[in-house]
Amino acid sequence: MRKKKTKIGPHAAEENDIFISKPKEEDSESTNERVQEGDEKVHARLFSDMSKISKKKMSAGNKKPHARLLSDVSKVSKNLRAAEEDDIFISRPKGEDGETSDEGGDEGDEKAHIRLLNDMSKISKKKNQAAKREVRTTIGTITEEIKAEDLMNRIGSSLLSQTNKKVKTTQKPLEKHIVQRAKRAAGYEDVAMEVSKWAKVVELRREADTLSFPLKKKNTEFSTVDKVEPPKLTTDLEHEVYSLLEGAKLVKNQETEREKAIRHAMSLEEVKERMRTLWREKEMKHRYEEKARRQNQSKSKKHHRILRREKLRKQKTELQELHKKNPDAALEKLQEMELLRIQERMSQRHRSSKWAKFQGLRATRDKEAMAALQENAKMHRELKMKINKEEASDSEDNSGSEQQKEEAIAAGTYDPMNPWTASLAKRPQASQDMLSMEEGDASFTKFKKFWDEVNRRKIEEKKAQAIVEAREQKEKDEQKEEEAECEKSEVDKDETDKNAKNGEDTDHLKSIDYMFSKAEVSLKKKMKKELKKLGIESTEGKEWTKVKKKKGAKIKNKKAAVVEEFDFSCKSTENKTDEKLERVRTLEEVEELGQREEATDSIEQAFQTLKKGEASGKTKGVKKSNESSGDKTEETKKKVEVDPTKFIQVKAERLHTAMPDTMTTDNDALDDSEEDENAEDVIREAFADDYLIDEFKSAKEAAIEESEPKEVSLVLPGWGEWTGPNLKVSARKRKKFRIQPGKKIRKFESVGNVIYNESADVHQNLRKAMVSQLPYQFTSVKDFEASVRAPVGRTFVPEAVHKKLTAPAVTTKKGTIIEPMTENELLALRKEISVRK
Amino acid sequence: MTAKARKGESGKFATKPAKFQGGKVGKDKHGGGGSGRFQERKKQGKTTRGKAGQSNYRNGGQSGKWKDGQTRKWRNVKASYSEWKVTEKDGEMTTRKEHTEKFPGRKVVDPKLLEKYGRGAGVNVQKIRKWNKPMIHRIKMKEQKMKEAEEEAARVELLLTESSGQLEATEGTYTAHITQSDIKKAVDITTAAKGFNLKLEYGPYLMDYTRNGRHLLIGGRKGHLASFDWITKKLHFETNVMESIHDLCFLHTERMMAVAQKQWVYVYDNQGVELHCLKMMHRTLQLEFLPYHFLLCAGNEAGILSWLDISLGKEVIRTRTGKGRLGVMCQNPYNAVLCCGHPNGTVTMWTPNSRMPVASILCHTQPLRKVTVDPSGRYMATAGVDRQLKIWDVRNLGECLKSYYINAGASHLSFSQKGLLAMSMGNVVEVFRNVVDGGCKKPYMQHKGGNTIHGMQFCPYEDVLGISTYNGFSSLIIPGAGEPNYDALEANPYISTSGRREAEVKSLLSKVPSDLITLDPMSICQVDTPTLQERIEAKKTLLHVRAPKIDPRPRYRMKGKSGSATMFKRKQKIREDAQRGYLKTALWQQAEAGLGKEYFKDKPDQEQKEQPTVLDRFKPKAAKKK
Repeated sequence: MRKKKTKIGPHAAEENDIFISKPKEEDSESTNERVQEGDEKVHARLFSDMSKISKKKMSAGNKKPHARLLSDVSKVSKNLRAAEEDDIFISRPKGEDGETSDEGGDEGDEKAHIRLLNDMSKISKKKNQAAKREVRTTIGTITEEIKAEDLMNRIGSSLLSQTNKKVKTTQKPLEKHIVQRAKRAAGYEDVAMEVSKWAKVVELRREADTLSFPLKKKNTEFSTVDKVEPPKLTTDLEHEVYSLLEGAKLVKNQETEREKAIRHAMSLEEVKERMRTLWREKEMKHRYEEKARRQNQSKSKKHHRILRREKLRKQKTELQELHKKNPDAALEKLQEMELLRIQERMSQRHRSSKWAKFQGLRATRDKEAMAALQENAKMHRELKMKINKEEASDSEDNSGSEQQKEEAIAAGTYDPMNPWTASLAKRPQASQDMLSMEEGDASFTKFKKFWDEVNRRKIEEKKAQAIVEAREQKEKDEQKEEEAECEKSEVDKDETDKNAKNGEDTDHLKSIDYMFSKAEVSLKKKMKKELKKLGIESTEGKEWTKVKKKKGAKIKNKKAAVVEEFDFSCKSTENKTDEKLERVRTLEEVEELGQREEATDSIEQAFQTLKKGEASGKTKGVKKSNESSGDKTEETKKKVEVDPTKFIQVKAERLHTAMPDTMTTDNDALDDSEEDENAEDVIREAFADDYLIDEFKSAKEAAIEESEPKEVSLVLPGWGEWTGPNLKVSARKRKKFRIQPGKKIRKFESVGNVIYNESADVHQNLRKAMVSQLPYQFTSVKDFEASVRAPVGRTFVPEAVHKKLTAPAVTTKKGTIIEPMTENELLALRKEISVRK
Repeated sequence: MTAKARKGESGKFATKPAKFQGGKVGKDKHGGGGSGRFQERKKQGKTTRGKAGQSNYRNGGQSGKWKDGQTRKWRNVKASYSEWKVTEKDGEMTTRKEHTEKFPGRKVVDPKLLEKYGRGAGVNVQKIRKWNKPMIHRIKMKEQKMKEAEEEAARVELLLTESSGQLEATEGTYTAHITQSDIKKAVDITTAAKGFNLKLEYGPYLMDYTRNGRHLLIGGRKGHLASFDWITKKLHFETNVMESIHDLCFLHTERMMAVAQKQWVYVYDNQGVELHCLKMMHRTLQLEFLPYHFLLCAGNEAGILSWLDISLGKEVIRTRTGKGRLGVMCQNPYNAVLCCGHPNGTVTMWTPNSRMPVASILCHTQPLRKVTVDPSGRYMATAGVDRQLKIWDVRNLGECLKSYYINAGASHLSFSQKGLLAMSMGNVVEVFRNVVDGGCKKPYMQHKGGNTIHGMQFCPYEDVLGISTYNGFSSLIIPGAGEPNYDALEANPYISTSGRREAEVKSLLSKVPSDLITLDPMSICQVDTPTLQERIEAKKTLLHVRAPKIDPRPRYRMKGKSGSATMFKRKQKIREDAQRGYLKTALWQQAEAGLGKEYFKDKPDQEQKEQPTVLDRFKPKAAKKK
């Protein structure tokens, strides 16, 4: 109940305000006027009374009566609710006034006051309207329920009717253009409706392969074999033949209605079962829909975040599994995820971006902009916030990580310096890094992979070490003891370092570089140890190579294998002759041709950066080998091989051919071939191999030079400097006024034993016949060429297909009238669509 | 077939060291003596019945699983077909109707076969503007039809019933050791009749087969010229031109032939009557005829190449190669480009559209002796003085696939339709299989004649290799050389007179203009990208013509002429004038640069303007005006 009141309260108050505020001033005046107009007697008395009161009150204090009056009035207003009828409305305040006066305690004034009120009420009886209004003007807020209707009734007819009358006056006609616009809008709607019903028809017609006009077709239904009644068998022969046919199952026995019914009949249980399954399906569907709806409705950020995180975790586990099974696929997936992450990152707006600036400017006026800004800020905050790992699922992860840690320790691969194992160690204590989970999820797996690799190498090293140690154990027992001490101290150092760093890490993000540097330090230390063991003291630069020498080729080989594993460049063995040679179209493609060897995956790039870091730390030798291979490819790319000999010399096989007999029979004849052979011998002696090759080389160079566009010099001597027979134009000027042509793409440029003349091959006559503009809907040359790639002629494709391919879009039947479509077409359309489905 | 050979159940040839399986040597339609082959067929039907073939047909066809045995099935379509009939007789086979009911829809096509007829990747519809739905629909439909066409073409393969035969040696023997006489003894009469020798007197002979492989033209250096149907041995004509003959070739039919004589090239008809004397081709050494373009190509002693359109009698182009004597020449049947071999070890490729070679490839480091291109236009074989034989990928210029050392420099090379390579060295002919793949070390067949070989060519659609020597002509039977299934619309060995006439007219109507000769014949369905780019650039410039900004503040003028309205108008005028002037100059410049209005107009075809015809009066008025 209370609630209701409060609900209504302000509303009512507003209403009242509206009603009251206007007459407020007016009415006070109008009442006065009316009082003057009305019963003068009463009025006079009222005045006298009032003066009496005022006189009396002057002594007590000026303000008191005034205040009382006001309070009285307010009380009246409070009871307004109860005053449903006019009489009561008047009467109530009376009594209460009495009470208030009692309370006031001024007994002397009572009579005068009552009289005053009576008089007032008399006035108000006649002009209750005015009184009511006067009363209301003083009201602050009305919490009681007031019905607007009552108030309106009380106000009476005079004012309201006047206003009503005003409303009823004919409206001013709208402006012409507005009317027209409205008309148009309405008309548009109508027409749109009318037209849109044809949309499907039009679409079908436009999509149709062939249209044959007139479109109306006669309903020709062929009676199928099943519908044909079986022939009446009259003769014996027919019977016999028919029975034979039946035996051979060439004729299908027709099913009677009854048989059909039997076939379709179901038992009660079957029916029930069916109903049940149907119901179940429906129910399930309903539930899923409900669930989906609820999930969609949920606006909880937290909920969504949890969902997202779960999804990520799932992906991660999947990825790990996939990595075990199929590393390539895992890589691909990783790449995908990375792309997603990048997209997400790109979609986020920076807090101090240009966009934010503009939004800030707009925000003073635009609420949306403000909201967007706030949203952005919120997002920013959220993203920056460290994630609490209160959630159960996270703790699961931790336990898992602990397990991993234990495993790692057991396997001997546990390294506190390794960011992954280190993070495993840290997790229970410190809050989870943002990098590791949310954003760095993709990088996580990548790094993990890398570190796994490093660990593996370490194990191998240890093994090798063990072998070496076994050999030299006896000799270096003493040294070993010393080293053990060294190690201890160093390990202690490490630990202290680690502790210090842990403290730091909890505060800020742990950068990758930092991890690497740490790893590097640890590795260096280990190296030193090993070197000590081997009795070698050397500078940092040399240490690795020397160790390598000592350890022998075994480790080296293994390292090479590692490199191979990490090298993602996919070199596919290409067939010698591709069946379908693709055309090189653009400059980019030509460049690609060169670069094809170096697969430049984003992942590979990422790994390159990794490798760099790695190389700085541990495997310098590996890096060297890698670099050298890289250099090689670069070299090949830079320096286009144009040596014809290289292309000519394919490893020749020997064919077992017979030796021809030397001819003796045709001595008398003028045998050209023999003459040729003699000549050939001479030529063979005369032509050295190199000479021909060199000749070809120079010819190729000349051809290239010839076809290359020349640079143009626009230098005018004598402008801005002296000129004369022995004066040269300055180099600066020559450079300035030189127009250099762009680099031309040339096919077969890199093939040493081929001179290809493109202008002769794709000559002007041919180019005239070629298409030089893409037809309307195509935006790429490739697509257009694909669309015309296949022949349609009857000598290339089977006749039936040829007819189909070359069928005219529209055929008309001669001698018939092609009438416009009627609405019947719409009905036909429905059939057509249903048939299609 | 192969199965039979392995089993060794051939009753007929059991005594022979190797069996000849004349898959293609004889033809049913031709002659009455093909009985031996026919019997063989029958046997095959029996041997394959109830084995792999049968199961393939019944189950494998629909199951969607494709085994290795499937490929064999495709080869032996005929065999399985006969088996089908037999089983039908036996009554085991169910009716066709039930068959279809069991496996609804049409028979699945072998994916390998589909690949063979594949036309490559289609249009990427995703890239095309989305909002034009009907267009996209249409493109999709077209793609669908293309797919259908591929499938249909693959299905039609079923009609290629013939399969090529081959020689197979028993263990311890080589196919190369089988002599022509062995083969002749083993095969049926018709086939045996295809191997023959002609002893002729007039000096080293040259030869040429027609495109359908039915007729043969031989010419001796000392002027002997003869044309005959070599299968029936019916002589068309025989004459002596009384001049030295250097080369000869048939034109589009067997009724016309070009002969390069001492001075000029002459054209003779089927009766040996001289039709033309082509004086523009003098002292010719090599002749080639491009059948689809109706071009007769000649290379002469002075190194001049000339193309003559024989349908018009006009010379298309004559170019000086500048490479000396053109003694080595061949055509690439795939793209109608001429390949010439030169003493500097290069092969140059020529089209009648340019005075420069389209490409020149350094193939050998010593003079070339012979160049030939295989019928599919993929491989080129070159033989040099350096006693090497090289196989090249023609489409990928300059890529040497294989290189072989041979005992003597090959003087002639010839590819058969099935990819056998014949090579002549002196008086020896050797035929190799799989030269391209490099699977061979030993010859497939070998023949040693009595004389130096001067001409050699595989006969199309026959398992025959013709060699012309110093003293005659001989036809060698090389099993598995020719294409067993001929396309009657392309080249029909059994063509009738009326058929030949019709084919002549058709081929003339569908003559390919010489303009279209280029290395990649498919370039006609490609976009001329340089022009396209030019156009786009031009359009850009047109769109971006914008007058420079100027300050239109006119001089103050008295007498109310500088009122605000007048002033505004004056300003406007100044601005417009400036803009107009600028645009004028810009357009003029564009026109100067050849990018004017005319550039974007579709150039009217000159042919349309040509000569009013009598039938013009029946055209509607609008068309007449044009």
